[in-house]
Amino acid sequence: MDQQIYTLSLAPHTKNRQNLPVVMWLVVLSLLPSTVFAVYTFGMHVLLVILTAIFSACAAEYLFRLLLKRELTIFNGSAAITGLLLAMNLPPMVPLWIPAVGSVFGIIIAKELFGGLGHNIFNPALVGRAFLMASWPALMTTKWITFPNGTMFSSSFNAYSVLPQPALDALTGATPLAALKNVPALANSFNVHSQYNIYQTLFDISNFKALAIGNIGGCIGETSALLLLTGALLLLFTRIINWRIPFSYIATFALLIFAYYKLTGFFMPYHALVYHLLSGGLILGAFFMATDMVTSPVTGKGMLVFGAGCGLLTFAIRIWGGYPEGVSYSILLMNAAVPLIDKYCVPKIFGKRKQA
Amino acid sequence: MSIKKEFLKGLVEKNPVMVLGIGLCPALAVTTSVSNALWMMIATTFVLTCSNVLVSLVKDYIPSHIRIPVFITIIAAFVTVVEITLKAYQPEVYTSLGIFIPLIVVNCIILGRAEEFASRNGVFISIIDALGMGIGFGLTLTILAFFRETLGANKLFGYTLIPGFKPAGMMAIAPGAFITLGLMLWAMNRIMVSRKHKK
Amino acid sequence: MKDIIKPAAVLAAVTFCASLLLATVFAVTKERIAFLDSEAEKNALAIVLPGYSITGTAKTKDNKIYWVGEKTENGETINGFAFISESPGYSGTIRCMIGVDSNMNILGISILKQTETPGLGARSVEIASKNTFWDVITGSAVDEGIQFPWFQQQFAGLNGNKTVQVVKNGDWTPEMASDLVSQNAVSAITGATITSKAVVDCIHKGISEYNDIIKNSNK
Repeated sequence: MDQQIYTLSLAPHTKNRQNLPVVMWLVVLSLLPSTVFAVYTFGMHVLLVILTAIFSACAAEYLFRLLLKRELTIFNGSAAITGLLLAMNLPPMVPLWIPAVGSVFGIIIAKELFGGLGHNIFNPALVGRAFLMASWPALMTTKWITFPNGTMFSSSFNAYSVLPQPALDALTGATPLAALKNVPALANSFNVHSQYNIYQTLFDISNFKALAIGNIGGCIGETSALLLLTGALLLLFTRIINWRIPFSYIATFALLIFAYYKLTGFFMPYHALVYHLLSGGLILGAFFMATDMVTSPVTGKGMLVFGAGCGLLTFAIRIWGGYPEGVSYSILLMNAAVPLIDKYCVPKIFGKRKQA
Repeated sequence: MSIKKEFLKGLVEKNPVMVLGIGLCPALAVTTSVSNALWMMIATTFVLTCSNVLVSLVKDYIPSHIRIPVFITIIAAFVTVVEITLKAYQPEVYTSLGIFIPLIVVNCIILGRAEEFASRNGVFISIIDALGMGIGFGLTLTILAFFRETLGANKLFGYTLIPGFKPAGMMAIAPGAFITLGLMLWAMNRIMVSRKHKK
Repeated sequence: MKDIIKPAAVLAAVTFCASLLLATVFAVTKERIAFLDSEAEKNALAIVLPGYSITGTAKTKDNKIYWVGEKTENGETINGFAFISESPGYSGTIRCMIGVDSNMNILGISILKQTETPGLGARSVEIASKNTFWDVITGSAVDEGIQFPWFQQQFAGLNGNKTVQVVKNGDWTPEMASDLVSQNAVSAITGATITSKAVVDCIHKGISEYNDIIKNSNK
């Protein structure tokens, strides 16, 4: 008897070509411009850092799954993305064992022990970074590349020569956010008569250009706002990421920062706002890490709440915290809140009568 | 009731930290160095043994509804003895264990064994039970402390292990304790499960 | 009636025995503890007032004790003062003993009590031994004599009249000493800037508290 075999499956029945590997490789593609730019600006050591991170992430996942006799998922590209994102969150000149240890920790502790891709609560790349920050803070906060004679500060520094040379050195030796956070201390220790001059130096137009283009001190993948936004557009158009999280993240953050500077009577609130938006890991975090499908809410309303929470925490850490930057910790903290957000943001079920 | 069985149950199948999940506060707090963990083992085992002996001796004379205050009084007395003795003869241990010595009073293991075991059994077997539980608790702490001290401070008993190696500071603080304890539980459960399958 | 008397009697008996036990232990260890306390005070004074002999103690208006020491240098008698100051650290209070001369130059400090994070802030009392674990178990350890915690060592020689700066040069080494003294700065413990700043705050607080007393006692 000739038997026809039908495939039985539940709705939805439409299919598109976006399966897991395609999505993952598109994410890699969208990060490529900033990666190439980072190698170009910071040098070949950065390439080694990135390759080490990717290789160790993949190797950790492969070996761990082999050891536990689980299905090998190495070719879906998710481990490679974890490695790449971790590398983008490291200072350029870290020794090579740092990305290796971070990747292995992120993949094994944050992902595989929770059951692998799709089961992890926290973004593995950020857990790797948090582990490195807690373990080797000195290496994670000093290995910057700065541009003393290059693009960022030179012209503005000449314009405001009222600042003593050591103060200029202290400003160029840091990342943009660390420099901003250091202003009061700097004014105090170099006896500059007011913080006014230092802020004017920081908020010079050439600095904003540098922040947009990316020839400035910072983590490997966070410096160039323009290239990151280009990659983000690709992800938005292919609908791999939803607009809600980055939108509510950045909007909440911008609102709070502006309100803070305005209410405290700061003399350049608009400059401070733009400076905060373009510097640090905000764009990288909002578009590429907060939007991680596994560790963010599934409902539209939930995404807005999640983004707003990230924005609030980033604001709080940048303004009141001990660290200059708070994007990665904000996303990690909100990751923990995702199950709760999902629980309270369940969409209404159609065709069900309201309970009286 | 065999002596060997009563002793070994505290080490493996009823290990206070790994199986019963009690005594976690000192397990996380004092395991930054192996010597702290060993002193904690000595202090806890001493208090546990003394209180088990006394509880088992007086159990028939105590009205059951006031047994808990009586047990706690006995335990608190021995903890204070340990505290004063350490202060007088091991002042460095006393400062480095700090608040966790007086807190032995509220360690669930001790009241738990008094209530569950010593108040129902004879003196001798209660001593065996206390030694097993105390050493089981202490060994878990020591293993945990070994990983935390070597990885988190690159030290063992306060001496540098590998000159030049940069230790992972996170292992020395609370998250490192939680993660290490979690991994130890994982390993322990895997061993227990595979042993069960063999039987 | 029996339900009340018997439990009460049992509880009373148990607490009485417990008190008896504690009283015995306390009586036995009392002298030893007092001895250790005075030893600790002596050791701390020897660190913060090196070379000085303690001539006596005095009290401030708030009934706080401070120590006065003196030593003879080039035929002149110079005074040194030691006092205790407290300030909140990263976790819990940090208590320091500080020794100064009459010009408010810091002669030495000693952290008497701290509950900072092990491996980070608690390294403020760490003694850097060159002996490794392997040296100790193989018996090839070298006797390095009495050593002081490296973090506290760098305070000696700083000027207490000026603000002590905290710089992030990494863990202190003897090579850094001259550079730091010229800046009137200390190098923070790696990864424990808050603790390092808390110790400096503690010293500032103590100096400002005792500044007048010490300056007046010169006259």
